[in-house]
Amino acid sequence: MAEMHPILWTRLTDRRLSHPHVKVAVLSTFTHRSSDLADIPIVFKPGTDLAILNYIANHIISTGRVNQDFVKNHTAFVKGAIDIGYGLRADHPLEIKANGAADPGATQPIDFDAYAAFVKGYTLDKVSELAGVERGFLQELAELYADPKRKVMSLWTMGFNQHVRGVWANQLVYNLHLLTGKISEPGNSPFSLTGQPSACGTAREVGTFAHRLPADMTVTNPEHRKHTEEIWRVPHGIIPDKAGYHAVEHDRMLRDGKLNFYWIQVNNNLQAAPNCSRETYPGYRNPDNFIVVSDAYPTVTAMAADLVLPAAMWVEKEGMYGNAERRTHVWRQLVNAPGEARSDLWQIMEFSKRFTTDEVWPLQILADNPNYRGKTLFDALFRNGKVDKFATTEIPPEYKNSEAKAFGFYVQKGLFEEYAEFGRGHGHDLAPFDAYHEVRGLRWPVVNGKETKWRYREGLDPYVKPGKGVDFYGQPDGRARIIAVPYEPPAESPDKEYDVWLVTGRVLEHWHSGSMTMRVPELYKAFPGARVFMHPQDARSRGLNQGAEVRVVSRRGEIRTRVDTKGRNRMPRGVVFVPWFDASQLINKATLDATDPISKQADFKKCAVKIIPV
Amino acid sequence: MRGQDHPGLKRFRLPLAGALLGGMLVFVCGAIYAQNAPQIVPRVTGAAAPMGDVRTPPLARPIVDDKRLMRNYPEQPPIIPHSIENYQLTLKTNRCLDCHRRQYTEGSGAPMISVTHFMDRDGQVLADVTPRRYFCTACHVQQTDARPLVPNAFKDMLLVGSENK
Repeated sequence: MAEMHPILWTRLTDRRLSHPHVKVAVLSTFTHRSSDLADIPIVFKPGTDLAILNYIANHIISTGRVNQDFVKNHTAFVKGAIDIGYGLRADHPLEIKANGAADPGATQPIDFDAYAAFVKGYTLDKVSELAGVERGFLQELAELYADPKRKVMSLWTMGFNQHVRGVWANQLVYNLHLLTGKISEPGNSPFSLTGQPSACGTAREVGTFAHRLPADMTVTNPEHRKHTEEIWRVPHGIIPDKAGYHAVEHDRMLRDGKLNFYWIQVNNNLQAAPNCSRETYPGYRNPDNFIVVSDAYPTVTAMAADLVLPAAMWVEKEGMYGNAERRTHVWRQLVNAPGEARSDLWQIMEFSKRFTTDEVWPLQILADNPNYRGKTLFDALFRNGKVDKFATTEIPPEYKNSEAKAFGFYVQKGLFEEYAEFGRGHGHDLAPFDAYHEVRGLRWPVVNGKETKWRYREGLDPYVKPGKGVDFYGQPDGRARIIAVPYEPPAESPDKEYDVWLVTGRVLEHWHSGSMTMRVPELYKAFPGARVFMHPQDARSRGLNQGAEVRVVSRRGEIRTRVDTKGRNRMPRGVVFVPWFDASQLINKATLDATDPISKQADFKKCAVKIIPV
Repeated sequence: MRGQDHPGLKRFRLPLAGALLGGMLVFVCGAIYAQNAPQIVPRVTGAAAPMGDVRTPPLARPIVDDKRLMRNYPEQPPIIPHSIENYQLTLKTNRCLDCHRRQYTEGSGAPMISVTHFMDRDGQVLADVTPRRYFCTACHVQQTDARPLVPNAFKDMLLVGSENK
């Protein structure tokens, strides 16, 4: 968090240093800059976070510190499917062996006693041994949650989400806050640190996933499809009823030749994808496929494409995004993009003019809806009386808007107001578009012009009716779920030959794949290339000194890099860390394309490698 | 676009092959091609064969010449021009402040931390460093002798202002 969310980290630092009673526990698979603030520094073995969380639940129950009222009134207990596999290709031995892989997200109701019996197996001794963490640290950590007088915030970054059991890890933290009632109020909250800025507000909320529609609706639900088709003013039956390929599956299907056209917009997928030399690159170079990349930089992905389209950036277009705290922001276009670069939005809208409904919609649907015949997709989707409702004159003359100029209406406002229809009155209310140009963001739901700082608690959330206290209205019964799921091992662990864990991630200086930050002289000169952080004794036992060139080799691929034994990340023995921002050291050649079978997110934090001197 | 192993791209390359017939033409085409093709800079574009074996240059050396550099814009956090190897920066110890704290600057000769670093979030000035500014390396970084990968067109605000006059 200290390196990936430095501004929020200053708030935590401020709180810890200003108030001596505040305690900070940092859990990680190696020691890093966040650990510098820790009262309770915990370095656990990769994947054992699941066991630690169940141990804390056990500690809360066995010491009699469950918040009985809260649990009785606001929660329900369920048991999750187990042995759910690792999201690898279906013919992988691990998938064939997995009994619960068919429906990994399935749950069935249980009661409190069954849950208590389930976590009882996660004893201090057992978990201390499994996780490789001193008993005293685990006890101190568990007491922070158990102590009814102490407020607790749990914050987590990508190690929890890019995890073959990431959904479980998230749910297990929520379990602790729900068992103790430490949730949905100032100072008491689990908080996933994503959304910086796109993951939360620009993908999840809006529904830009293979299986989702806006406002938490899914394409497999006929009611949701119908409602969406009405808002979008397209005929019933147009939205397909099955989910498309998820992101990791894209690469597999490109490689297999089942997916043949792929348009990547301002994303460095080839550098970011797990197991990229085996599962990603072959698909991009498959002659049966046509790969288009819209980007502002010649990234490794753009360089592998068949066609590159120049993309406008940030203040070269008007746009919106949402943050992890549900805050929706809007910004103006301040300058024109150079040359022929155009925004992603312009590119999609212009592309839609090239197709007619007669060419791409099913005949039966056109027969039932003859007024849609002979239209371009641009007419059907954007010139629909809704998206094109707002005039370009609503844009203040001092600001540019390339899309409005090209299409003749205020595109961004029309799209936003259409999208906002999904959530208004359903707990996801957005303010009128113009309001966002006046303020520094608003946290939804925005009801009667007022934003919501904390959800699900009376007095703080307008959707909780008076007298209810707390209402988790996302579930029809208003109860949050406490889930019993076990520790299950990672997809791949070190063995005799591939004898160390590989963890990948970022460094403070470089944002994601480095395509922008590697071009900023101060940032580049501060951290000019990737390296492998390792324990000095691990280096010595291999005859390696600081700065020596080595190969990091997995069963899938390898890179050459340099050893760092005294940098900012202090590794335990048997674990190495390589950041992925450096396009000349594509560490994702070595990572494994295992995913959480529920979220489909890849695990970039756990696979087995060996380190060989060059 | 990386064209070296893509049969689908062959038809785009044919005109170039045809140009080999005339020496002068080759030169012209070659010049245009070189101008339009993105330059391979392995650390940002990947190597010419991105999935191949790519050699790693030695680790760059930190710059420790103690030379204060001009900031590129007023709010830029000054870079660290000296070694910080083995500096402890923890809950209990802050080696940076041993020299840069107001009361130690006379002895150390180091610049005092900025006045903004004494202010809390409400702008209240404190006697010592504000807790939220405690971890210096969140903003202040060392530089190495690595040479920038690409040209940079950053313009000083002063120059932008004078151009508009």
